[in-house]
Amino acid sequence: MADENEKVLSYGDVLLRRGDVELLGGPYYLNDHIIEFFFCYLASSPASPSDSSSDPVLLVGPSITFWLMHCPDPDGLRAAIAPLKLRDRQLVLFAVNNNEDVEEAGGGSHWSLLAYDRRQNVFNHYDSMKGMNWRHADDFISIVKPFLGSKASAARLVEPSSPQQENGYDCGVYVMAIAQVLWDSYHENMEAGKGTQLSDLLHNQVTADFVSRMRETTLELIYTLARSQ
Amino acid sequence: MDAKEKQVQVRFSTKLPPELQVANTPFSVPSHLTRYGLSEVINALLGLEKPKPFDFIVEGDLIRTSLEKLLLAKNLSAETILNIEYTPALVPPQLQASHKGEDWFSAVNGSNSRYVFTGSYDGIARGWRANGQCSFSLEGHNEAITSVAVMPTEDESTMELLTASKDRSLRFWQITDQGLPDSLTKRAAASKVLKGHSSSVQCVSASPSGNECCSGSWDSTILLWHLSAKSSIDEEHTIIKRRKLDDYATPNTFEEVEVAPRCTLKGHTQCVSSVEWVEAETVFSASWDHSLRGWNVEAEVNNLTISCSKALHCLSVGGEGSSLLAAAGADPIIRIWDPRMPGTVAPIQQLTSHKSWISVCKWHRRSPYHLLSASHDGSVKVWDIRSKIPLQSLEGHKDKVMCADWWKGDSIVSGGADCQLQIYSNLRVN
Repeated sequence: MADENEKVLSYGDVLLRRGDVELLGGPYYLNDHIIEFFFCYLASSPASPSDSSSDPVLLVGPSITFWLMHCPDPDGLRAAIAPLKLRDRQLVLFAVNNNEDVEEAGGGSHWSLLAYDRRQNVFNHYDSMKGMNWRHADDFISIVKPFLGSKASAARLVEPSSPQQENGYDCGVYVMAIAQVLWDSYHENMEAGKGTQLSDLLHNQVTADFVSRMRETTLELIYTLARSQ
Repeated sequence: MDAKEKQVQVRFSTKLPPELQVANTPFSVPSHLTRYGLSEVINALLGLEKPKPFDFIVEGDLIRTSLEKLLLAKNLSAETILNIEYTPALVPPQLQASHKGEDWFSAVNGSNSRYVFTGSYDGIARGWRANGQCSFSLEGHNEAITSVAVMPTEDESTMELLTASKDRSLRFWQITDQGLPDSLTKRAAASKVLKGHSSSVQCVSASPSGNECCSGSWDSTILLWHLSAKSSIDEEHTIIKRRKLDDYATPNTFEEVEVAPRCTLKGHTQCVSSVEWVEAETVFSASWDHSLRGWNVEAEVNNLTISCSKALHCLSVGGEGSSLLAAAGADPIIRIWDPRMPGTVAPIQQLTSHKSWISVCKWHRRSPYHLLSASHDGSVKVWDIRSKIPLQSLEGHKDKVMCADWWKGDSIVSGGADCQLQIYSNLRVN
């Protein structure tokens, strides 16, 4: 039996251990480390400018999203949020979790993806179990809104039609898959993505089959990166 | 049995922070207790120095009767343990400022946190500070202003306003902060005049992207307008003429540009009384023709029609999932529909308390439960849709209330036919 604390891959700021990576193999709920890794990997893809601080798209992984959501003091919040340069971004994606217990890192039971789109001035909440994380997304928005510029104060939270999971454990994979589609579509097509087109694109690409294959491809990706280190 | 007070077993829960939580164990309380009595119990359990009023929710409804009556109404056995959630009660709002004007206040908008914008029957739009002092006035319309909208802008020092008027036009105003010393009343000229309606314009709403707006009129149409600051090919088509205007207040010469609509949405058969641009592609409208309609503005099609038994004067989109439609008009009832349910016909909820026609209903910008309404009966009411009766009734106006809005979270601004503008603060909705 392999030691689940064995280090598999160190990528950017993310350290993946055997126990994290094995979640991808089975019908398990993904933890924050895997999603953090995937966001990190997306952000370093060739489509983005070499200097990530000037990329019009920003991916905010589980740990920072969680910290912003539960940061107890306003100074700490400002300090955490300033380096993100949210005002300069056209599209910001946040990995939202329903964990309310600050003591329990890695708690919670459901992931969803919240996207602020400056072109349409709207918060799109992609939840693979529609309605489940609405309140968390809504609470989170009230925290980040003041840091997104004055236009964003008029932005609403909407839940566009999102691909829906068919089981109780794939939410994290859906968050990764949807983030990838949004990321690709922004970089391939710089003009304002219209809501219905984007939602057609999501339904066509992010199918149950695609999601189950994504577990495998992400696993392969991790091992390939690990071997090349 | 009668000699001894009937008791009910209750268990309290709350989403408030730990210092305001009580033990999770069941308590026995007298069954005659109402909201006030329960609030006293919680205050006693918490040992608060300064009493704090609480509201109580059972199965999604606020407690507004005695526990005994509640058990009967909900058909619950007195033997079961009643689970009660408590939240801070809404305290009565205080009248913070009021201003007596020369003419009726017919439009108010509270979406900017620094100024309240109003429109009056004298055709002038004004910006007000929280103390009820007028900071600037915008003159240009020849007849009464019916609606004021605020365009979202990226630059905090620039404000962009839209006004709709009975003079059949709309005006688009850009106001920069440098031109607005606090103490001085300033005039500005409209940078764009929107012409295309053949009758009074009744309502206007800005698109979330801040580039477009839509308007509804007595001519039964909804017009869409491009207002992007950058000149594009699209705009070349829509600008009819430019003319130089000398502004008499400053030596500057203003350029007034006439804009034509980019598209007409037809379907309503009578006055379009209210429009709301909700998402990039979605506009909702209410009309005197007894219908609520949803439009896809990209495809320019009417994709939802809900009929009502009365002429509608106002509409607001909000509530749970930002997707409930609240509308009211020529009777004292506020109706709420959920258009997500296929084949929506009947309202999911009706709120009654007003005594006359309703001029405004407006969801709170943050809370999914709170709603305000204003009526020709002279009152402004605040509702929590979990309760059948209003939380607050503000009776400050002496005539019809024609307009009202939320401002800065938990303040309410209202104006009416008594020429009064009133600002109520401190509702603490959340």
